[in-house]
Amino acid sequence: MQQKPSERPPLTLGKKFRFIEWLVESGIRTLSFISFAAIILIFVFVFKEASPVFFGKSEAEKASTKDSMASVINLQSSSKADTTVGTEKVEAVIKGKGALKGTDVIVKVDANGHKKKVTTNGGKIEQEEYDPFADDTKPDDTEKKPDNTVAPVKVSPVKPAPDPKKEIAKSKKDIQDSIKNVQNLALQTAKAKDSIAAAIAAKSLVDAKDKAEADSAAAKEKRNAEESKGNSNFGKMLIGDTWQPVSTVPKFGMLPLIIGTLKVTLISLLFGAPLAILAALFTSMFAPKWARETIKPIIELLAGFPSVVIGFFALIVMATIFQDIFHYQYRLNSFVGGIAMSFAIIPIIYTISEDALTAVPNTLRDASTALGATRWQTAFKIVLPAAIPGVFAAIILGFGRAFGETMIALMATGNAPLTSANILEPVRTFAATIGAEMAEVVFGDQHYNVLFLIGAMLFVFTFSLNMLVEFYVRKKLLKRLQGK
Amino acid sequence: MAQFSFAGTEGATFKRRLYGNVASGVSGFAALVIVAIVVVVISSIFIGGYKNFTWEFLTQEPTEGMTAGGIYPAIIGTVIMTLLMSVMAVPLGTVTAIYLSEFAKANSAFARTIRFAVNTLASIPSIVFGLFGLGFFVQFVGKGMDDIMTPGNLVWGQPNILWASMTMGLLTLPVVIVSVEEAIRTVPRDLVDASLALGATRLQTIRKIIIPGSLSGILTGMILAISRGAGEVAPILFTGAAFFLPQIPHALTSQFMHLGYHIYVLSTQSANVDKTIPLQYTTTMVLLLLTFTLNISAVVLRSRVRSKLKAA
Repeated sequence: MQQKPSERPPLTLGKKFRFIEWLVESGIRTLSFISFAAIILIFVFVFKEASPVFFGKSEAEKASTKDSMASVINLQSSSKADTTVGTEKVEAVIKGKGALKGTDVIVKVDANGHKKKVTTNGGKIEQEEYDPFADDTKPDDTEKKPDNTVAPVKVSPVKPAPDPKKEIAKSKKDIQDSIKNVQNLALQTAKAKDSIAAAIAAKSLVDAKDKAEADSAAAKEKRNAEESKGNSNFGKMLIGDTWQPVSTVPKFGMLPLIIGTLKVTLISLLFGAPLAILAALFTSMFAPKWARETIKPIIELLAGFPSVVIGFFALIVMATIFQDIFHYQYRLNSFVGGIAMSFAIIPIIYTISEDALTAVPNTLRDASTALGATRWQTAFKIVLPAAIPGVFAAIILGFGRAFGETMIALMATGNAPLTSANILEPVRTFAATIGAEMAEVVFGDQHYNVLFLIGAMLFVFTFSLNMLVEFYVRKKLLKRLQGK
Repeated sequence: MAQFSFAGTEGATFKRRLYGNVASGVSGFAALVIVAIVVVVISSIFIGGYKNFTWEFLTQEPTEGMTAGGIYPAIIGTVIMTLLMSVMAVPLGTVTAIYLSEFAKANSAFARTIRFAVNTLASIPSIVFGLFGLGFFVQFVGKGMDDIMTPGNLVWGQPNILWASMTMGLLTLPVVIVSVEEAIRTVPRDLVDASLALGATRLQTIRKIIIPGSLSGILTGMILAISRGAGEVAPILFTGAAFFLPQIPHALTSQFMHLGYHIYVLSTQSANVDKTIPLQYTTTMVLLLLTFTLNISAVVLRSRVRSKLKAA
């Protein structure tokens, strides 16, 4: 008290500045933000690659729009080694028409051309009829492979594999028909529009002899159309019901993907969630100790299964067994995929809801038992309601996992983008679409951007599910358990 | 247990008992179904795969267009990728866990932000990580490096083992963080306080008390991360996994074969799926064995950590 501070060094309490310590500590502080930074980076970069879908083409691409037509055609013809010259021409015409005529006409001509193609195919407006055509034009197509290679091998005699030669002949005929159609259409639309230049360009495209000339004209008008109308018709395209990104007239309708993803996810939830929640109830309430101590590690073992193993099991073993039992037509379908997907989400739902159930205070249980309730009454009327927000969180997280699971969907759902409510038909999910198609797109392509857009959607979706769990469900759970 | 029953309540008691039996029966049945699923999956894969499970299979390259031979490059590729991945994920995860448990106040905005980020990172679909790896590591970092160092040449700007393991490292970061944090909580608080009271700085305490005390947790995190990295396929689909590459990766810029990707390729894209079915089974069996071994050792380590936590 009497001592003056100057007489002896003051107690520093570790506040002495040490440069190295400070350096390392701030290093730790900075590095620990890596997960946060990663989230931001993922957000930024996935959206960055997806953004051209909304904001038109990037500058670099705009500069090269002039050659884009030719390059696209060349790329596609080079990647499709065995494409007949006929297809190339037809598609070029359709594309050229669209580019020339601005947005409305694109849709019209595309729709007509497509429809006619399909109707000549025997009047069936089914994707199935059209798919083999896509297969033939591009045999290296990854996402088609499961159908091509696996399904026919395993298929029961009920559904004979389509004869590729017949299909080729058929599609050649279709192509010839559609050439005529498109030629007629080109002339008609040209007349209707009274645009001589357009007619000339269209004819030259139909001949497909003088590509370069047509390209420059097309590119100019395309750019004008884009600048004036923006990408409004692209937005329409995104909610269309046809997903055909690898044809020369790419269609990015996401409806079949949405339906496919929802089908698989809901089937997996309907099968997996009740099982997992009941099992969690069993191990936390009813099971004798030995049963609990065997069941828990086994389910944790299931959590450690790589998804590719589950996908393999579903593809090779389960699909065959199910087809033998239920005798449906397509070996790989959303039902098989959904059940396989539930194997992946059962451990998640089980673990989280088990945690929620055991977190219910013992006082509640004891009170219930003391009032004369039996164990099942306590379980179903006291413990389960108290833990319901936790169980809800478990289901949401399971849903998120099933929504974004790639390998199982890629291997076991058949991967055909169909728009139908039948659960016994092949489907394609969002994640599987990315997994199957990303490997073979051209960087910076529209298809590439759309795939990134799908990825961004998956990211936003799981992110918001996580937010929901983090800020709403957890708080509710805490409130309930603390009796507020 | 003594039964208390009052006159006139026998019927009700019977009903209650019936309900009780039904309830426990149904929930027990659900648990049984899950266990059965696990048993069926494991046994069908092992029954299909054990015949080919030979030393030659493990040490040979795939031959005859991947319809014969072994999976040696895939095993080595997986091992190298997971090791590279843990070199990145384990230190970063440990640092984050140390920050969360030692530096940050439990309810500060920083800590909550990071915790939320970790949770989110754990729940993002793995395919999105793949897209990120392609968009960021390959297209942005790799292409950028190429532009600076070797303009015109494509060296880093294409999928390779480095980008794949960095992508996988991000994916497995939350796994490491969670298990290290759990382990740090087992270090007795008294020890930390005593160290600080003796005049050790925070860094010294971390280095001499906390890290040695949580080594098992760091190890657990690493094992779990490796197990996850060995099994995930989606993130490496377009960041570095090769369809077929007989030689083992020799540089950071080379692509690699991966067990999980190999299964996917064999079962959906090989030239002759029927012929390779035995190979597929055995490859799957190897992958399962690998992840089981890793997971079980992690469980053993973790249970030791947990019993320590209870004792503390």
